[in-house]
Amino acid sequence: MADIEFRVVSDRREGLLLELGRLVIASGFTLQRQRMERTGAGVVLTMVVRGPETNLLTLEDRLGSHPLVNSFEAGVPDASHAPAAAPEPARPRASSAERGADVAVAGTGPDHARVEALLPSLARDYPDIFNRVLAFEHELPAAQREPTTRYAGNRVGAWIYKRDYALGARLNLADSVKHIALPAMRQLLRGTELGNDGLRILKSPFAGIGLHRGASCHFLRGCLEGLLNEPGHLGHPRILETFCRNSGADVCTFTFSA
Amino acid sequence: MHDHAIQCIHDPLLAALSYLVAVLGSYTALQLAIGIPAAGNPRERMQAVVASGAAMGGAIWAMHFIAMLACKMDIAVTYGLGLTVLSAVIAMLSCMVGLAIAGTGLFTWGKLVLGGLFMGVGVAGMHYTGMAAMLMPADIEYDTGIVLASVLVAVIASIAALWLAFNMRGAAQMLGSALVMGVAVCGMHYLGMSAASFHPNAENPARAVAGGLSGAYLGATIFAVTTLLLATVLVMSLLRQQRRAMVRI
Repeated sequence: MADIEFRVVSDRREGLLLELGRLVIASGFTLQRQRMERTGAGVVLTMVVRGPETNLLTLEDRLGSHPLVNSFEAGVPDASHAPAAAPEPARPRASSAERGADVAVAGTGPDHARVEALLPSLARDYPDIFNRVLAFEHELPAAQREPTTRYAGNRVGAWIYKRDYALGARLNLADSVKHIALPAMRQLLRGTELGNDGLRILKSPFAGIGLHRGASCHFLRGCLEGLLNEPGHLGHPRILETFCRNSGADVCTFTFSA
Repeated sequence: MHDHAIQCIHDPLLAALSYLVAVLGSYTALQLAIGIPAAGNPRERMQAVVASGAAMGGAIWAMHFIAMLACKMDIAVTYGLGLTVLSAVIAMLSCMVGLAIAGTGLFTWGKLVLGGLFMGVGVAGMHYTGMAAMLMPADIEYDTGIVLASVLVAVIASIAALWLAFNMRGAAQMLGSALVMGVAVCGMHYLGMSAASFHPNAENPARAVAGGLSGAYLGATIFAVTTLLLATVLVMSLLRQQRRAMVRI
């Protein structure tokens, strides 16, 4: 068990603690203490949570992809509770140097600053964004590729939803996949189809480029998360890349569960 | 069937115009309606419900009376003001209820069917109230079977239109739903007209039509309603384009 301090920046105060408190609990952590204040950067919520280190990446992923969270950083709790300055990009935890590289990966969150710098060019180039995303992924340190590209995908997916799919009824998960996720992904990538085993992408640009072992379509996974989380009523469905061409499968397949 | 029933010959141009107006009005109404789920508070939601229901009811009403003007009969016809207004109110209120049901909460088949029922019955209710508003030296007899079929057409097509409008996204949502709702409104009307037969009675023609609205007054009102619908759809399109361009990544 470990105590971790998160400093979250948001545009909105109402409901922030409730929403993120639920995330913390759902990830197997308990909230030890929290402090909220308004700064020039926005509303800063500082939370100290306690829980198993094995769940830390999950919690960081969920925080990073939450629609209320603009940015966050994780670190060792600050006993002095100094007033919050503008958060820096997530830094590795102090104890990670005593562990292996894999655990250092678990302690590293997405590089929000680099994603923010990338996003305007993706908006301009949409839907032809993959050259930029691939170049961006190449530039990242290996430990940051997965969380950062996934976070970038998240932001793009949420943007696409707000732009093109926000008007209409609140759909259940299956209909959201069919009527929102599928057409949105088809706009980005030809050869996207919906099968019994999930959403299938026949020619992912992220597979077979030698950057990852195993599943490699983190940007696309993040995109799907953004598309389906942005409506706000689906309760953060779980999206997994169950098969990837990078691992030898014929197609990249994503599954969805509530 | 009486041998001396009066024939109603439809002017094809006006009949085509009636479908266009139905589609235009349905497009406007459904574009307003898909904002119902996105309303941030009860007041916004009510505004969206009222606006979309009024637009839909107005479209149904305008379509009906264009089609009635398209119906050429050998006798003079005017329209009673009270029932003409009531027909519009019926259309608007039932559409408001139907759209509110379809646009609330998670989209389900139950809500879809109930919403379509309200809208379809509203279309039919407007039509037969509008028919009752006719002042003429003739009586109307209805074939019950065809009347029921006309109501069924209205309900089924309304359900389909609501499904397209709320469930789909993109071009299918926008245009498809309006085209299908146009079929609901026109299909119901022309099937309902085929259910009616007009039989001259002994009433003095001048007295029969006295006090009713003539075609000229109706035409002016229909023109105003149609212009309002067109202006609304243009403004909405501009606002939606602006809103889309302003969405920040």
